[in-house]
Amino acid sequence: MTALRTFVSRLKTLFRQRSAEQEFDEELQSHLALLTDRYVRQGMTVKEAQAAAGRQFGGATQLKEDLRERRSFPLFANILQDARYALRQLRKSPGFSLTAVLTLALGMGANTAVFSVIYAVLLRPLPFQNPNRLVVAWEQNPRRGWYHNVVSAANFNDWKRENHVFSDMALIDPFQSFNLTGTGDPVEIRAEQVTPNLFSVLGVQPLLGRSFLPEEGRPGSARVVILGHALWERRYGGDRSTVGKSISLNSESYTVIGIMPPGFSDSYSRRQDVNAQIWISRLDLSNPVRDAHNFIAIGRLAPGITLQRAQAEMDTISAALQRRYPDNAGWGVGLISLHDEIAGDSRPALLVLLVAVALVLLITCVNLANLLLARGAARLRELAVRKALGANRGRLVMQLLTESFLLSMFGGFAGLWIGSLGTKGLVAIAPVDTPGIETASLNGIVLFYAAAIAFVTAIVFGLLPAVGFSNLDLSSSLKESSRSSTEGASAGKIRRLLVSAEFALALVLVVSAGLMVKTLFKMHHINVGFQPDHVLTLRVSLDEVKYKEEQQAEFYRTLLTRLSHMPGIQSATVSRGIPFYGWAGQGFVTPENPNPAPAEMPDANYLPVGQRYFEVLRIPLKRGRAFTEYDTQNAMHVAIVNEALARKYWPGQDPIGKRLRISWAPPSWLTVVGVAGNVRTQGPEVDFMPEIYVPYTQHPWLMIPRNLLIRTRSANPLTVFSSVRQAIRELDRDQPIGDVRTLNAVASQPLGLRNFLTYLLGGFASLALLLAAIGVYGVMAYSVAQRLRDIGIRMALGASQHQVLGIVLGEGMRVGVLGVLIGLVGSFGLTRLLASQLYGVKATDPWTFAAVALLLALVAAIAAYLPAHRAARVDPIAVLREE
Amino acid sequence: MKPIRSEVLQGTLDLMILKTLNAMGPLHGYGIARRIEQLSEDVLRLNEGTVYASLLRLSQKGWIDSDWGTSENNRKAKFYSITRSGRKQLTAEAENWERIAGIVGRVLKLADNG
Repeated sequence: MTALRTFVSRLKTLFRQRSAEQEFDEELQSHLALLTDRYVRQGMTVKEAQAAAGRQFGGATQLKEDLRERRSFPLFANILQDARYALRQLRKSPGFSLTAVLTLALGMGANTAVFSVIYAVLLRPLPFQNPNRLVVAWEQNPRRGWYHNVVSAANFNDWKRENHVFSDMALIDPFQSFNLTGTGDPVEIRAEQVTPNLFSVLGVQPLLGRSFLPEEGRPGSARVVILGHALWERRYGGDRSTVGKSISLNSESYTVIGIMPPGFSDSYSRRQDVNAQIWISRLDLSNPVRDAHNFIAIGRLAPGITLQRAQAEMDTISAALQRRYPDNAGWGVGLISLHDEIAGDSRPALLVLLVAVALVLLITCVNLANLLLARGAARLRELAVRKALGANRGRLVMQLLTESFLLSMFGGFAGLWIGSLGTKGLVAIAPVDTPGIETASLNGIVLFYAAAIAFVTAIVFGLLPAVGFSNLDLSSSLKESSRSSTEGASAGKIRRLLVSAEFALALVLVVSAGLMVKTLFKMHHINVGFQPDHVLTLRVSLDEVKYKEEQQAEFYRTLLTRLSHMPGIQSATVSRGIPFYGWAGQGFVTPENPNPAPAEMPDANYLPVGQRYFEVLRIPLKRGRAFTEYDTQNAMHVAIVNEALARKYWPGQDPIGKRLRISWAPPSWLTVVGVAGNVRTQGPEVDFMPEIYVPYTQHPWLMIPRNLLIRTRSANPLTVFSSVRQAIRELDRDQPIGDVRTLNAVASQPLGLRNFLTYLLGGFASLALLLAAIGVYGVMAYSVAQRLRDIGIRMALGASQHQVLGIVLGEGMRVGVLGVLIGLVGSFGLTRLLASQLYGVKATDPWTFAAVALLLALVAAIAAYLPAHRAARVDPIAVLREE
Repeated sequence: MKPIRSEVLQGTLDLMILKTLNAMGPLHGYGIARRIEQLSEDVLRLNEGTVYASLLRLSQKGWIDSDWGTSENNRKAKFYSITRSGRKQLTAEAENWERIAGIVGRVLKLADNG
């Protein structure tokens, strides 16, 4: 207790040491005066009395020292003293301080921003109970190269029944949308059909109302719905009485039973353009077809079960299912933690960014160490004097470190500001499908990270010069004349090495940026097989209650006819799915191969499209004809295949007139009437896949089309949108329109992550290059300033301006080139990390490496040229006269 | 052995100051020095400065309090007074002291006799 009181008392004094000392002075004076008075009264003279009082009191100075130490904490007191001193020093050279703080703020701000994004996307715990126990179970068919494949209900039912490793499993059908009508504009809302236990498996409760009851999980059960927070706020103004009310979805009435917490729908599935805002539990799990892969399965591991153990059990179960059901041949189960599943492709890209931004910070440190060294050289005398006056080496190092800590603190605070701006910027330019990115902010953990890097930074850039100086040779720097007190040869060498290090680090960043730029260039020049410019796309999902099969076809026929007569529109069509928009694989058989084993079943992407699909997208027809208005339900059923399919299944033959049939659909043979050019429908990097186009007018039973594709005359297809909307509203006032975008935007979306990475790497690389150039300039300018006399003498002895220029330029280049050589070796490390993001260029691309090395050498030369030029213009007479 | 001895002396001085303040009420440093001088009948001569080291120690422990006032010669002076926890400490220390003094006295006598 008393120990604590003593501590608190000392702590209080820490910040009022000076006033405590003054108080004691007064007290002491008063005591001495009283003593003196007493001796005077005893008959001494004032002088004698004062002396006697002094003796009686004892050593006052010593006492003061003693009390000062006991009053507070001497170490802290020293630090405070150092801090005050450092502050004075920094104020004395505002140019230096401002540069240092600014550099630090940039470095730390960039790090803070990148970390806040990485935290949001990769590290943030999901907002569920024990989120690390949640696992996504995919079906996988390694022989066909399919991983992360959606799951069939029949297999899910068996998994759920037979496993002992999950405490529960839930199923989601994510590919749903409903037309919400009633009050307000009709809208299409993304929805999920789920098993009623989804929320209990995830461990999350609705914000308002309740979640689904087990008996609400059947197709025929009461129509109840849970709404997402965003939809509730947007459409119902956050009114609590929404729970219990009825809403109209696809022309049917549903009762709202609950509202989910904000951000819920973004938290457990890969982010889509628009995430689900509606949950309905009337999921039909009775489809016995093992091949009907449609769903996402999420399980919660039972207590004590590891992911490996669960995987082993699911392997056993799926092996048994493969033996039992021929359709399951080749299909296994792949488990992945929900967290990893969500982070997905963002992980490698973000890790590259983390490394890159750390390199930027390192360059910042090196640059600052250099600045401090240069400044230290100017302060050499000051340090030498302090040392001569008895400051020990530790004390000097402490003082230098205090300065760097102070700088780092200021830099850190400014960096937080830059970091918060940067975070907003990153969120704005990140690809929209980066999961969880919208939660990025400067939260406690990010702040802690920022503080930690500020601390480490201070040590790194503070210790380098501190070590350099603490062993400085006292006598020599005191002896030298004040004007020419030069830094030792060793300090100069350290500074050059530091600049070389900056070049090495910068090279790594510039090479990475270069590889990404080359990747983007290659990707922009991929022939995707269609022309996305001038095309508008939007979704018109007809609800199946209101529109029966023939009515759907009729709706589109009328709409397309009206659209094609509009000014500004060249042609319009409708389709199920648009390029890069996923895979609708169907197994098919041909008369040549009528009974393939299930594992050998040929398959192709299945695309119901309208008549003018190939015309609108400018997909070339290689043979045969396009679809026409005569391809109706009653006519011969036809198909168009792509070249990849024709080449694979009818190699060397004419595909026109061949027949094929979708394996599990009603037994109707399709006759091939045309061959279309290949399209990279699965994304620009994915190879051509076999594809079957069918006229939607013949197959409304399988999949209704819903994507309108409109080729416009204007280069900005969005200009026709209002008249398109008008045409749709004229047909049906309650018909919502979704996802209005240009096809160009759709086509460039797969590049999003790479664009993001390229921008940032480019930015970091430029910053690094700038810092490195400043480094070379600084070192050379300083060295020239120091050696003006030498240079003057040389010139007086006959050296030409060219020779002087060459010497200084050569020195600067040496520093740069050494760094480039080191950097070339180091680059292979980071670029390997980058490899997964590259396309069409190797991580060790010699051209990029060579070009970047050359660029950096050039930068070094330019940066060294300015001081070299100055050296060459030295007037030997003026310099020598100054002596 | 030196530090232990000075430790003992320090403790003794602390105790004497507490006792003084308890008996006399608030006093300034000079007054305390005079009182101790008087009580010890000039046997214990100390550098009066050490009183202040003791006073700092005691106030850090919260056993005494201080306030500015005016001294006899109309100077500003700091007056120290004992606190409640100081009084408690004094009682405990005094008992302790007497016990130890008794034991030490007996031991010394024994040693003389033996």
